[in-house]
Amino acid sequence: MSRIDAATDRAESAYDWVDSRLDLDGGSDFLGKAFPAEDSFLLGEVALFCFGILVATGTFLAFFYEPSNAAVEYTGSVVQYQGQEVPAAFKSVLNITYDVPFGMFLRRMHHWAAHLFVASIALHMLRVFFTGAYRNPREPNWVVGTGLAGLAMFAAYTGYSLPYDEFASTAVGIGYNVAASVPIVGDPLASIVFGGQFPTSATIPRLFFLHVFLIPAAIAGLIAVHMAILIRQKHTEAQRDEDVAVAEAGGGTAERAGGPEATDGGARLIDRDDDSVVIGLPAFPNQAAVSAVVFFLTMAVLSLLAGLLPVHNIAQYGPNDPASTPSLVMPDWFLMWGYGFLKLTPSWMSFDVLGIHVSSEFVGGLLLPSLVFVAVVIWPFVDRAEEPEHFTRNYLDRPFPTAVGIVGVTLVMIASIAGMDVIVAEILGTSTAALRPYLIGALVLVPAAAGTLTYAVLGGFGDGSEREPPSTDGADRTGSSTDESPPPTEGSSDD
Amino acid sequence: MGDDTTDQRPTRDGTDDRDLCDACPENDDGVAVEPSIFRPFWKDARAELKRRDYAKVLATVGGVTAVGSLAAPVAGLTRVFDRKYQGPVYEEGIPLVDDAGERIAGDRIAPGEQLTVFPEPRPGVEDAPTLLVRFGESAYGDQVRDEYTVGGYAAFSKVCTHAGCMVADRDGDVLVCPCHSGRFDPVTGGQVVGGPPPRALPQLPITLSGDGYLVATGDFQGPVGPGGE
Repeated sequence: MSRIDAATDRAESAYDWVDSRLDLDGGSDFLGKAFPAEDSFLLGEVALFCFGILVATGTFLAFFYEPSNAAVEYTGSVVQYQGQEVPAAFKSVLNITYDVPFGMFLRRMHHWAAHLFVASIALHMLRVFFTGAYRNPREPNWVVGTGLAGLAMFAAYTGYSLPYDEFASTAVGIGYNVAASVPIVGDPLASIVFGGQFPTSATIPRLFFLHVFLIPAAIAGLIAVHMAILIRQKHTEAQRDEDVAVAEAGGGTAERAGGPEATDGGARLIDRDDDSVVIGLPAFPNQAAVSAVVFFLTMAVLSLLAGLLPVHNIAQYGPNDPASTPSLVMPDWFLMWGYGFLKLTPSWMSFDVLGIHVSSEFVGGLLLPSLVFVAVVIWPFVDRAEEPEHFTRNYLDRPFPTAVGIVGVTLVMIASIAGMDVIVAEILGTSTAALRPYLIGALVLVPAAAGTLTYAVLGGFGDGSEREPPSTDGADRTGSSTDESPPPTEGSSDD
Repeated sequence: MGDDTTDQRPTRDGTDDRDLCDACPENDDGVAVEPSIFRPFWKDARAELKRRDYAKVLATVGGVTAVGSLAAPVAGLTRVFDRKYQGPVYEEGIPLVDDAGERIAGDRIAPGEQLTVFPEPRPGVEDAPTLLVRFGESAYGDQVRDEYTVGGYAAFSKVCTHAGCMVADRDGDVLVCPCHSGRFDPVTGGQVVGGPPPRALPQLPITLSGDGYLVATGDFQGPVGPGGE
């Protein structure tokens, strides 16, 4: 018996051992789950991998991080702070960055992964939105996904605060005051999240616990729900160009795992409009290989960014200075739109209702951003489909939803520019005060104009005749795996 | 009792669709018939339904109470240990000092300049960042009481009334908060002249002491920082 045979035998007996206890064969159908071969469908996977990388790098960082704002003497290797009293959190992050082996790399990687996490979630949402993939029966997963987006932003905010540098402490202070400005429940809310009136010694431990345990646990839970719904409902699929020949489905994993070319005589023709079947790559091995490539590309990009581009250089920012606020203070890009709302909300927008004071920082900092999130959540129930939809739609064929999406995107963009008004004013050689009325005007007019223009260009004002969806790349969609999509209304399974 | 329950009432001859006893006499069709007089009350559909409803109510009340009692300790999270000093920050005669602890002489800064100062440390009072500005003595408007300024100096709380950032920037004579571009005009008593802040920066009445240093003559004329209308 050759050595390879012996190894194979051992592997097989090990598999049998596990299989006899966990019934792996019973779950082998899952290996044939079909993943439509659309590149844009991989954005969610990028987000998933970012989360894994965040947990791994974050675990490393948490071994060294000290959640405290108590003043301690810095004795590390950054000359400019040696002998100075700095907050313990700031000191520990300096230590991670400059004295722990690989610390700077992993901290930057954590930071960049956080950026990519939010970015890939945002792009994933835009993809789902503009292809109409949120419609019946996928509204629940859209809502879960929106929750994940919100949690990702909250996780990023709490993480941004932890080094307790000058920018972080400003962000915490603004967050505290926005939380405290919530009518009625503001004070208890701010006390629970921030541990009392900022700045207090209880703030950093609370934000630390939220950042390393509660929010990641919630994100992991929602990801599990997101995945479970995805598996239960099957993927959406782009419109097919023509009838597609695939290997016979349901013939066991051997055929399904055979790859796109395996037809072994049992080929059948899937009708172009047959929405009871998903055509795509089988989960194993094809999609697993694609996912592995996505994972390594994600790792590679993050490593490159972490290795070459400094991010959140706290040695330059300096520790929290309670008597000053840096001129160019602003949050990370994905919170910039909320920051813009805060800046543009005029003071007269505070009012009293039934003796309850509604302040402008609540309106700008929480109410308006929350309204955006609420609009996102309820959208699939506004643009709803009576019957379950299997195919995604081309955004060019959907003037109204596409126009609404453009309104949302431009609104967030203009609000983000308003958040960076200091930089804009510098570039234009004017003051933020002179810029303000234009920004408020642009916040209303640009989205309205962009939306109307989109609607008009896509023929929304025309005879309303639905155009035939233009063909997309169909070449690489002829995978071998087919997935019977659940027939929620009719039993159209042809197994 | 609604119509829905009357349907489930056993028929008069006792042949309902529920389990029948083995020992009961049979009727003409060969089906065991339970004499109605012996019918146990727990087989009465009406009573059964009622009991079930009671059970539901009790389970609901019990469940909500149990979950509620578990949730009640969440209120404990609002407990704050690090109470902030609530008393006056400045008082009559408290000197203003710079970040090095030096008192501020009458010629410390020139008109048009500004300086961050603090109350001279005493127990309980730590940082209360105060913005000291200086203009020409005639620059101040009617809104500013004469006794609040001295020698062209005026002092304001540096904490923005919007979101609590430090009003650290300057645009000409206007004080600008770097966070959300709130604007305050020092020569009109810190009034809001742009941006989101809801109210003026509270002014600190100051004067020159006998030995030529700036001292407060009272506390800030209004609550410091956000909130506090």
